[in-house]
Amino acid sequence: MEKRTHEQGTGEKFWRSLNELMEAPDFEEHLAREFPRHAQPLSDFVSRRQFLKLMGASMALAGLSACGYKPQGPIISQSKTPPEHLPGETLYFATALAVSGFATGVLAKSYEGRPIKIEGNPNHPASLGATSAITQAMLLDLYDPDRSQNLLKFGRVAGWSTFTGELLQQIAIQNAKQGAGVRILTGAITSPTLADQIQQFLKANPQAKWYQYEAVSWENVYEGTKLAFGEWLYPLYRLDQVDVLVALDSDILYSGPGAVRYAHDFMQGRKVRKGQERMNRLFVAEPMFTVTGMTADERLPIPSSKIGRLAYEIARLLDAPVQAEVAGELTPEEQKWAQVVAGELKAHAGRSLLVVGEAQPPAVHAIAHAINHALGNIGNTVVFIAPPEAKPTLHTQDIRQLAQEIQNGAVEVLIMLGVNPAYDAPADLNFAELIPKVPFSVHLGAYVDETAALCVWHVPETHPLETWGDVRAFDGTVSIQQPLIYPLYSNTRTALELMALINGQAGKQTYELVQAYWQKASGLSGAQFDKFWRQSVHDGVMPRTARPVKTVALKQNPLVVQVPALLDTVQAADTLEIRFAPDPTIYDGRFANNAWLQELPKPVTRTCWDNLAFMSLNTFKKLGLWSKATYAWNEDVSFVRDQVPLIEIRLDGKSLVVAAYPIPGHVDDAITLHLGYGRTRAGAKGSGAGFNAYTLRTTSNLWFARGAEVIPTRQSYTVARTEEHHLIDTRQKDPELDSTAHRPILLTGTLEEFRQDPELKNKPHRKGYEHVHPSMYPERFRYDRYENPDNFRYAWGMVIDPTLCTGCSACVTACQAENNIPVVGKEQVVRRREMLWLRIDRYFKGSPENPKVYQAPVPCMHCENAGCELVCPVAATVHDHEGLNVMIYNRCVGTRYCSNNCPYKVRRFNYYRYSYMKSPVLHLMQNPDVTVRGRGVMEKCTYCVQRISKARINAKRENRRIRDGEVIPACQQACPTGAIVFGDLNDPNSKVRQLRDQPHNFAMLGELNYRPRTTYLAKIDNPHPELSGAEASHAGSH
Amino acid sequence: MPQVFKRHHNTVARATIFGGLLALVGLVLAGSNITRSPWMTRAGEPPDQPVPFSHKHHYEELGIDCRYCHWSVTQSAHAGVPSTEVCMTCHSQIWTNSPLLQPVRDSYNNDKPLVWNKVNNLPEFVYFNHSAHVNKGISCATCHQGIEKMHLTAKSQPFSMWWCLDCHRNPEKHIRPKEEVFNMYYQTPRNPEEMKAMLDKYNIPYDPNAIPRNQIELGRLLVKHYNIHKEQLSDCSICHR
Repeated sequence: MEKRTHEQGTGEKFWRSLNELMEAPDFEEHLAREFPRHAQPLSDFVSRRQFLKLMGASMALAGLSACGYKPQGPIISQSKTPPEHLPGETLYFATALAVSGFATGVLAKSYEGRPIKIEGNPNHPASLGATSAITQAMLLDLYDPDRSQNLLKFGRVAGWSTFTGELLQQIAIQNAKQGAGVRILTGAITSPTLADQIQQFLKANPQAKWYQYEAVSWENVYEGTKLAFGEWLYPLYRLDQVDVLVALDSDILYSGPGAVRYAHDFMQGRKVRKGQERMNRLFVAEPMFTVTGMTADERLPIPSSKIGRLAYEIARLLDAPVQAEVAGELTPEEQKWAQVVAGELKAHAGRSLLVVGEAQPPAVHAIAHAINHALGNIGNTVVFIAPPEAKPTLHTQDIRQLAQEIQNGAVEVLIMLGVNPAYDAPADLNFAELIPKVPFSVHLGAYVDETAALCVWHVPETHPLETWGDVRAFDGTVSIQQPLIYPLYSNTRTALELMALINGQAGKQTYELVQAYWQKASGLSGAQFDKFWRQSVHDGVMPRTARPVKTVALKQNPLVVQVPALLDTVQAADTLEIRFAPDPTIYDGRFANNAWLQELPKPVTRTCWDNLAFMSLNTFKKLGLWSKATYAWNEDVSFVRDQVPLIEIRLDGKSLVVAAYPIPGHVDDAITLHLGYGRTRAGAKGSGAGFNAYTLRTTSNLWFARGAEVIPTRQSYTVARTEEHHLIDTRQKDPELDSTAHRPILLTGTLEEFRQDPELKNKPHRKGYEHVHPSMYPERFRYDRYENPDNFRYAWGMVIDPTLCTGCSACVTACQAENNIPVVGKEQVVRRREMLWLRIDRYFKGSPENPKVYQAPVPCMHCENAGCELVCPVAATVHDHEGLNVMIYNRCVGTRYCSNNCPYKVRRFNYYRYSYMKSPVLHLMQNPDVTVRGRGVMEKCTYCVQRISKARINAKRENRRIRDGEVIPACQQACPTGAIVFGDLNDPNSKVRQLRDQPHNFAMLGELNYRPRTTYLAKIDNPHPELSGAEASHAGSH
Repeated sequence: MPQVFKRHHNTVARATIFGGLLALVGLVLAGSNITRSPWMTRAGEPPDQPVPFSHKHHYEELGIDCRYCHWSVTQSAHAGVPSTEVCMTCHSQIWTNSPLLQPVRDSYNNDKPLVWNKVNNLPEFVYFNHSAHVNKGISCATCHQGIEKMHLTAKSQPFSMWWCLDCHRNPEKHIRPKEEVFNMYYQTPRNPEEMKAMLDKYNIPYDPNAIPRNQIELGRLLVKHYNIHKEQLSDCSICHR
């Protein structure tokens, strides 16, 4: 492999994609042409000549139209002013949004009665003021025009009286036989009130049954604690107490109900500052990169089926009280990894933690508990509580039993609340064929989805922002959900209302139901209850409702566990492993119609609008996929025009055609499939996107399976790969540097290097950065010119700490929600026209087998010497006195020169009327404080200028300075880890200034002397001396 | 060959050239003046309203403060059209049978909003904030000049960008003491005694040797006193986001 010159260089070569690593011509083209060639020609239906004619005519008409008087429109006053309402100002209401029953506490921003933004609730244990991308995007679900709006019987609009009559008649019949034919299927339920309603029904009908099914469930966790401690328990991790964290096939920092909190807590131990030179260490073993894996200091690619073997090896080295019979051998590399990890765990006993992901079988969880027990971690870094759900259960067992009963004809009335088993139930149950066998089936859901289409009745579901409710967080804390808006569609109902109807409490409002439950549960009454209720609603958390910590003891010492046979056959060569995982953005498929989540580049793969069969480069080559004529141009793998091959995967007699996609860091001989795609009835955005991985997923192969067969097809598939969009040329050679060195885009170092030299002076980046040519230009906007904080002059700036950035992308969606950023769709993303103002650049370093990952969120840098401003012919982008590089949309004529001249590639152009939305309901969502941009206009990050303006006006009104922390841009607000800090650089005490004065602060492309106001701290990691050495030599030998 | 051009053609030529140029300039001037004229901006033309509300009657004749109805003006971007409830604080007691007020009573009784027609309008990409102005000594009268004399409410200013910028570049021309913001009859004190008395009354510090003599000098004093950063006022980001 002669071409990989980077390996002879300084070792600071970062690459963004395999294409770049391979130096593929397609990548060169992407790099050279910011606006790709195939994006230029007009669509076929207008010829150039006709276009010019139309253009001339419309110009003339546009000139005339300026002479007209525009009608002013109405002002609609209120008849009565609601309390606390200040016209034109926003209000925040505490509520909670739940995924799989687990709540994230939020503060929903309401403008004139419309929720327009979701922020985290600082009081809430699962949020601490931050959110995930999914929580941000749940706002869009409320306004989704594809939401189900009508009561349907066999797909036709029907009336409520018919429905109520039929339902109650069925219930009456069932009441007579104690509900023997009634089955209720829900997702995981933590809502105490809803659970109470269901239990009321079950009490009256003891023969009826309640099943719960989540496609992505944590039943293995419960079974694991049962093996270890004899009962179902839910673990809570104290990641702020952790010095060494070992995550085995677990995406603890990104997925799961506590992920936002865990990411926050874990990063408390990674804030490397001068005088604070300590850092925890993260070991991750996993088949494919996850967000946690990208953050890891030491990562081991290993198949999921071998995790048990690895865990047991660690347990053995630590003399943990567990006995298991495991076959298979670890490779010397894995063996070494296990040794180092065991040593580290032991050295930090009591302040270390080993966690195992939900996909691993219970036995592996039990091994982990034994290890944590042996290390004395239980009670320190991990505690156990009773499961937060109202009725914990084993979901796979539940759905299997339900399928069995339907098959046997035992189910006469099936009530499905907010679930979609026709799509996401294990494939061997053939659930879609079973539903029509039930004589009376009712489906409550927000969409007319795959399940709704098969049911007798479909009831549209109310969005949680439209109704009252209650829900628990991962630690059991209860939040009262309160409505922000009257239901948009009058026919929608909540699960609670439907259960109340069944229980004969028709007409009861959700408010009454929830309040009545808590009146009973709290034991309070009168004024005392009022106070308790108001406080709970106001704060968004109910005091003292977190589940108490349980003391646990191992069931037996040593534990004897059975590791399933699958894990024994790990070394059976030539069999492919299939690993199923929830999609990073659309989860198990429930967010498939959420365009924000669809267009959000997936944190790891940077693809969007699709799921793909992810595999390693070696496996990709081994399967012979590169030789297919349509997409191969030489024997190295590269994507030509974003084409990838379609393959057929066969597993246990089931088959799936899916696009194959090589991804760095994936373990060989394994394929990762994300769930949630390939939906047929998700809505206009979700239907038809991606491939349905559920077709291969069976009750026996719920998470991973070996023995898959792959057959290449002759077709190819277009992928929206944002990894090569908005490229910064990192390969440009600087004559003053080592001729083989690449432009050092990031400053990186290890903790050890930071301790010795906090400025990291010897790094290649510094050599370029410090070389700034003196300029004759007056430097008008230098922030350090106004040192006096009393002078009311602000110099806004931002510091991003990539060490804390996990790449979770919550900031990107928060930015989209705040700034009315349109969604453009897959076809436009392929043309590199996505509009997201904030992107997260993901760089790899090292060999494609197991590279290091570096994240850099890149917003507009607000350069003090901004190049974009110099080239704008109409002065549509200029500086203001606070150092903001502002963009004036109404002045922009769309030359795109500014974007050409932007080295960071942070400007976005409206090629079409992306923000033109046919559905009026979507207009309700838009932030009134931000201009909606039209076609032909350039736009970019504004540092949330609307929030600055608001703070400035508030401060001016009170004749004071804006306080530090008063302006928090949307990205900073959403960030769980505090990686983004914004503020006034003129204030020597501001947080941002203190970070900017850190020795390891650096400016990206600082050598250009654009003087960006957004700077970065060096990405510091904490590799283990024994492992990195081994890996470095491995990379070199490749 | 006969002379094609006669002597008088020189005059014609001159007239054509200069006249043409003049006409061009005239056309441009006319165009720009027409677009700024009330004919285009509809300043002074009251739109139809569901209720013929008179600012003259309520403000001038009855002496009701602006903030009684537009109570959010000091705290919010919007001055706010009062809710029907506000109208009914008085009109549930007086003029209870007036047919002109029937829409108001209907609105209140049926909980249906009154739909007014906008008088002053700004494009969506302009973000104007009332509270930022009235808290810094820019009076209602500056933009809604003459409202105290209007039986039917009309726009009194063009609300075009040059008009906004005129003041944003020279706020001295219009600023007044904060306490006088809601006084539609305020006049800049015309002699040093009155000026001094006013400055003392509102505790505005001044140099006794250089008492402002006119609005511009008073304006400069107030701009400084109110911490208004004049150079910043014409930043694009002040009004456009």
